[in-house]
Amino acid sequence: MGNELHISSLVVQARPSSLLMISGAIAALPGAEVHAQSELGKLVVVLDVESTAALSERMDQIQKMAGVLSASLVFHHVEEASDASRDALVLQC
Amino acid sequence: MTGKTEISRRDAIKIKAATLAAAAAGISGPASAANLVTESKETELKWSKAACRFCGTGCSVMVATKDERVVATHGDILSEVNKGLNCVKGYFLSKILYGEDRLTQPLLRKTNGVYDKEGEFTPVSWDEAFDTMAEKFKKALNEKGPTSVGMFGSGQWTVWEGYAASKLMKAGFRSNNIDPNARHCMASAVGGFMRTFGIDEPMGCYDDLEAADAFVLWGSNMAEMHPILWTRLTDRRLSAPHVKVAVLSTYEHRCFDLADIKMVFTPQTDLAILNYIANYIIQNDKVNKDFVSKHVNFRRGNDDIGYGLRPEHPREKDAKNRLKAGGSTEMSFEEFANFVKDYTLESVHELSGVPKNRLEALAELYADPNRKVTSFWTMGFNQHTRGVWCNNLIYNIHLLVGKISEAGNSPFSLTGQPSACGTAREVGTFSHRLPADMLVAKKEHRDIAEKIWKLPEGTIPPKPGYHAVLQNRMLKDGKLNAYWIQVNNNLQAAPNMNEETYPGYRNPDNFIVVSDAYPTVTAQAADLILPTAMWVEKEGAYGNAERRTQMWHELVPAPGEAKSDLWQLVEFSKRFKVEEVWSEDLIAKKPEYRGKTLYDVLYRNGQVDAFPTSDIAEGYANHEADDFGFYLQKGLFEEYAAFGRGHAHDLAPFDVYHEVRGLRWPVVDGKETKWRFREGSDPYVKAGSGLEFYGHKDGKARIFALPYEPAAEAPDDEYAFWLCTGRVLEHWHSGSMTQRVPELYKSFPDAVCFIHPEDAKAQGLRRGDEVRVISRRGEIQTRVETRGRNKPPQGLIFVPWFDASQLINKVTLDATDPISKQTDFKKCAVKLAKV
Amino acid sequence: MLRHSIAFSFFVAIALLFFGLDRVAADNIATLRGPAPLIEQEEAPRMMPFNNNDIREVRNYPEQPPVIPHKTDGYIVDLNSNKCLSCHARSRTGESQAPMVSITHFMDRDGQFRASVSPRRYFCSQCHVSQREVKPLVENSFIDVDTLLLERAKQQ
Repeated sequence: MGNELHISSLVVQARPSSLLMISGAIAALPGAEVHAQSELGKLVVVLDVESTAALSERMDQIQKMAGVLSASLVFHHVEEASDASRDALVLQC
Repeated sequence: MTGKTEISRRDAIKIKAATLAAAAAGISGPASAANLVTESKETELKWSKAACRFCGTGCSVMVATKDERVVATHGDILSEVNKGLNCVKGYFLSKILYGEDRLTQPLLRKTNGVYDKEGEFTPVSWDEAFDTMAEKFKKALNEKGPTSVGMFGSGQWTVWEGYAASKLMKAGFRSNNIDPNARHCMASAVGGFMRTFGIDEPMGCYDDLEAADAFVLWGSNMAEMHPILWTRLTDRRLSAPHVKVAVLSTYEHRCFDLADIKMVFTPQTDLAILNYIANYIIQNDKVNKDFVSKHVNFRRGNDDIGYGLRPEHPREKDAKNRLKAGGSTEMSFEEFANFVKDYTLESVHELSGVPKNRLEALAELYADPNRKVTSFWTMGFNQHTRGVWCNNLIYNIHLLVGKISEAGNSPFSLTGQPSACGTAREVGTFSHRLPADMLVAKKEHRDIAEKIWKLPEGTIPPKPGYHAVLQNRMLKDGKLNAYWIQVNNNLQAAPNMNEETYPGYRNPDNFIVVSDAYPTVTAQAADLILPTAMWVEKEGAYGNAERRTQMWHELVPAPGEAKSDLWQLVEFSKRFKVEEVWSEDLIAKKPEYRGKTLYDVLYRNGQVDAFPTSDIAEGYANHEADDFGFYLQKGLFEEYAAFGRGHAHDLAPFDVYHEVRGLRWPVVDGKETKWRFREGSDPYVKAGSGLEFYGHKDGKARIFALPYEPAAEAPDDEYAFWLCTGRVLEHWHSGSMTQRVPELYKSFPDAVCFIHPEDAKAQGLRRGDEVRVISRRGEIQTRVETRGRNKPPQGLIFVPWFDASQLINKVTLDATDPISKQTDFKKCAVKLAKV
Repeated sequence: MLRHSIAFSFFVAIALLFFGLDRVAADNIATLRGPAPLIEQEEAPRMMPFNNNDIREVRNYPEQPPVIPHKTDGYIVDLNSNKCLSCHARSRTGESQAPMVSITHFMDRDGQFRASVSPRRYFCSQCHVSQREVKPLVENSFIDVDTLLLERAKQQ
């Protein structure tokens, strides 16, 4: 587990009246951060997860939230678990 | 170090990701706005408890506020009554404050800048409103005396509002012409309790719902009118398969969906069915003889008591006991048995139309000694020209078999309004009552009230005032001239609007004041409208049907200049000097009151003003205290509580109620009472007696011999249908709150005429057709409904009364129970005509 | 708070000056009925059909029971059967694609979760209602908390 790094961003279109509720709910998902939003109901969401499966699971969760109209993937960065990660493990030991 | 680099690298990728997405979405500055929405400080809501604003069930709700607005409500999980549930109306409480047409300024009818009964509503200041109003009240008092002023209040008044109003009218203006709309709703229940037990309100409590083996509904559509109690009844019925549900009504309604024994009876024959059950119990030797000999005596009630119509009505002239309607004489058990023996299965089946096997099954529920039975009733019994009799007769049955005052065995009168019990009944805002079940007609009761109120002996007049229906007649006849209506919509609610209410309000001799949050039809018929704070815009207390007193704090400010009914009453009292309203010989008994105002005498008497504003719980506003400078609600409550403490109506100290989810009185030594009259539960029962009906001096309850008598008006060849009016689940009473909640409005927007499909066909009517519903008094136009929740038998129609554009009380008859003075809204004769 | 209420009264006064006078000056103030005088009546409104488009309506707050976006005429819910559960029961939502009855509905009076919907929740129409295709007689100015927070954020 956890030997890949997936960083991606999404634009989520929500009903404006539910915006704050939804952004709160998204922020509560593991590895999700809300970076920006507009009054028109658009949210910029960044996901930091460890597998493609986790990414699609998060997207699925967001899409199914009441008040969410759509969620589209804009950017997706993948890399192997880096040397830096191993360094981090070393540090923790 | 490397770890830190790792995080920075991740962040760099994230910023890139966010920037790209922001560009795609057309949003700028992603980083700066990132944390705004999830900050807990921002999304935190303030939750406070309150009692639901609607029916007498008395659910507790949690209310969320933010920035001085109600933003959400839900059922209170900690409340014994509703355990987290609400009905659809309760769930929409958040929106009842926000109808766009809230009244925010006093409005006075004026022409060219001066008051004119035929003028147009014009915004005025509170000062001008009260000046005009005081002038009209003083004029009436001067010219005709105290009986020319009056007030119509409500079971929706908070406890202290009803108490302050009662004091202002009965002691201040010395007029007993104050009555609540609970007269339309609960007066027959009160009459039943006082006659049978000598003390008002149910002996049981809602815990009966989880303990009974059978439920019998007598003229109570709980599924729509008391939905949360219905959820508890449904829970019991479906969880315990041995439980039986019997439903009696004059038409099929939603309760029939759960019924094991379904009975549709001919209107008014409930009296005969009740006597049949008593007869069945006696004939089958199922009387609990030990119970009856210890706890019951028997009375023969006067019969032929009339119908509460105007005295010149032929039906009144002929009635033998019209003036002695409540009278009775002693009788023996044998005489009682003899009295009911004519109510046989055969004859009652013939009269009522209920199949014999169902009548027997019903009677057997009561007769079976191994079955705990709870009976519920509401308007089917109470809105009845023999309403007190119906109440007496159901107690007869429970008393004959001893099924009373213990878990599950309970004759239970439900209430329609949130504080019909707490305010109208316990405070005694009826024209004949004083607090704690006392009566204006009794010298010793007036003495007690005058002593507690620190008033000279003889302040309170001994003669009962005008009751609800009589007030409208006296307005029309020009004998009641200055009239104040608070927290109700009586033009829509009272019977026979065309002939009595409307001409009374528009009589040029009269000045009509209406306090309301919204412009109702009653407000439109008034001369002065006072904008009123509602529900959680003021601190309040309500008392529900199981004797539970509940309180809430002021949670949000009222819009504009709106003020609570309490503020209005107390502020208005400042405009009257004692010399302007009391006679010289009365003032001579308390010369120190000379020169003072009614405000000084009634509300600054060292009791009502005894508590400082610092006693108000932190974090809550109180607009009355802001203006008067003391904790008015607490002072009124504590003075009022003095009436009941030590007299089987004990209330806990004021502050306790702000902490708990209500307590059922009598509350003695901090302990509430679940079943009254039962030793071990009720501290007022003498030790060793087991059970004691201490309301009457002899410690016994009374069984009354009362006959079946016909309705005031029945269908004939010309007016061929019975008209029954009532409510629907989605709207509460006249709809002035619920019709302003879009979701509730859309669920049931307009009144309809529920009718049997065969009847419709015979009249040439199809579903959706417009139809005139016509009585001897007036008519409305509505639409035909042959399907849906209510299924009337042939010969009866049902029309709800919530709709301000279809005022069904133009059609109803102002016949009342001669004992309780409560109107029968369930029976009159109408004809139909296709438009 | 004082400043707030003064501002509010001022707003009301201005609003009345510009928009309100006509309405309050007229005799006809009872907004829940048409223009007919109290002792007369207009044509009774036609019975309108229920909204039946299956599109979920946004709730005013999370605690609000959702309104029913379809008609329910003739649905039988009685001692023997419950038509609503034929689509909304947990086991039926796969084929019906209807929302499952809320998890709160499995809790009994004492807050314990049961294997199936609690009997206290049996009669669905006590909380959930269909909506007819009508326009409200009076608008409601309730503001949901999201909008309220957004307003506040904008002001800041």
